[in-house]
Amino acid sequence: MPEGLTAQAVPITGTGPLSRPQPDYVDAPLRAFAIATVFWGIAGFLAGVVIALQLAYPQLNLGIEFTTFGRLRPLHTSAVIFAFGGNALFLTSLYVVQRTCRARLLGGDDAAWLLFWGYQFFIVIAATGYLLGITQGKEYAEPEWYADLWLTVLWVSYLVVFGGTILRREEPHIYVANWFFLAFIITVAVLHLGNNVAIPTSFGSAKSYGAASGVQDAMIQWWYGHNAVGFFLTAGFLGMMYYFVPKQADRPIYSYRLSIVHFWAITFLYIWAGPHHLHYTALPDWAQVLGMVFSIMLWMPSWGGMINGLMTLSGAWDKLRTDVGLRFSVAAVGFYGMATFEGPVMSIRAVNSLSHYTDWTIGHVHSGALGWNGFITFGVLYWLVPRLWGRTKLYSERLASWHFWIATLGILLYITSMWVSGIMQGLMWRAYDHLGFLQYSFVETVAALHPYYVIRATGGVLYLTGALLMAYNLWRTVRMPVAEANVALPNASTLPAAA
Amino acid sequence: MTIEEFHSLLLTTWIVWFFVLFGGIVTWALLPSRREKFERARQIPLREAE
Repeated sequence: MPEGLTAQAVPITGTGPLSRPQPDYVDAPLRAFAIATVFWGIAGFLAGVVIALQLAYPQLNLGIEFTTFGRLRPLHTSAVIFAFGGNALFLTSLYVVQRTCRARLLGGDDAAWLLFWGYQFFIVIAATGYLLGITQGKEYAEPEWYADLWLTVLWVSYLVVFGGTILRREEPHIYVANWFFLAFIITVAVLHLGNNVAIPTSFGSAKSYGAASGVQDAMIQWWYGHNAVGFFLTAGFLGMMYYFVPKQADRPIYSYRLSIVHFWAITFLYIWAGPHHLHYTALPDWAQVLGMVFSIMLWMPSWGGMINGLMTLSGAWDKLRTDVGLRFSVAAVGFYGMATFEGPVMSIRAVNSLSHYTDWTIGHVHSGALGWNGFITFGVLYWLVPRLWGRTKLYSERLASWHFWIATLGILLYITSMWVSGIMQGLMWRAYDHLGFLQYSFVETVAALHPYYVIRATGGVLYLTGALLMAYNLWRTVRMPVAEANVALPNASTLPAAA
Repeated sequence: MTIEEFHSLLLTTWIVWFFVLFGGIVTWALLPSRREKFERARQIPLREAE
């Protein structure tokens, strides 16, 4: 039941879109966030390609401690999640909150520049630490205490700037995208504080010890870890979906009611799902079952959200042929649906006994990360970068289309190879011979994985290639003389087909 | 009532409270009287000429 088909179908109280004066939106720091998103994206994808090749060809560790897999892996995960994803979230949240609230950012340009440079500083001190071997050893929470403290200060500033902008809004209603962004900011703050309670050995030392230990520490870590997925990579990026998919499709969101139920169901359920990372460990069984049940329940709101995003295209599906940015966004929502179906399945204890510790998990993460987070960000960048720089079209739609297909092929190679290698790995580990001995030694399983690791690395190279095409395309777009940009078009969907 | 019994009662009450709270939110979202308000809300992104 589409609740009205076009923007014109509904009488809008107050004044029309053009009669109200536009606030003086903060844009320059957002351009910096866009550049940082592209830069860190490529750096993070490159690190991923390197470690994928290291798994296939261990000689590529180079025998130097700084370039070993153990140090480069957190560099890759942090670069793609926090540097690429984080900058994309700063960019979109600060863009969306100003426009949907019709208010200039609290603190203006200075506050946004502070957030920009402060966040880049955090990324650099965390990343250089990894290469030197400085780490808390907690997945996605590797930065040591000094970096954590800096991030806390920065994140509170982010909350003040974002929340303050909402408070000074001219629009009476807070649009749902802002709810998702706000949940992302607040929950990440709580998670960060909860999982980083640690005491440094001295103020001159990078080393600290966490307050919790044993299974409590493990549970806190995965409460953090899974909700980093739930609120950083899901809620925050859903904020993007709820603003940019309607903008790209030039259609309002399919159902506002569904978006409210989606929001609250995600918020109520996600926080309990963490224990599914600790199946068959020292964690009490009731906690494992609790995590499993909440993970399965999450399937419903996730698909509700996916349907809401996809049905927004209802009546505008033809735009997929002509608008590559929208094609990225819609494919992203499809991958979101796929990953949020696979996740609940893998959280079931019986399935997890096969999948856990295998490459299947890695494939699952990447169908979400490459397909959902990466693609929706690319879709946003193709739409937003021309607008932020005052251009009305992309340098090349054709190049963007190449990016789409190369990257999609890369993702497919990645996830299919990881399904095969992960399930094979799990089956080989649990295989017994007729005397009851394990049938395979560990090294035999490693040798069996080699071809799949090569395929996975190939997928990564394709994904990186696509991102490089995007960087070139966006660079040419902002370098285009303004005169060349044609008359002002309100929406990218009105661009000519396949330029 | 001992403190342990009271704690157990609180835990149960909390689950019931969350259930009621979530049910209330869903009911609120689905109330027919809110249709027009939501209809305006979903147009917010499209009212802007960026």
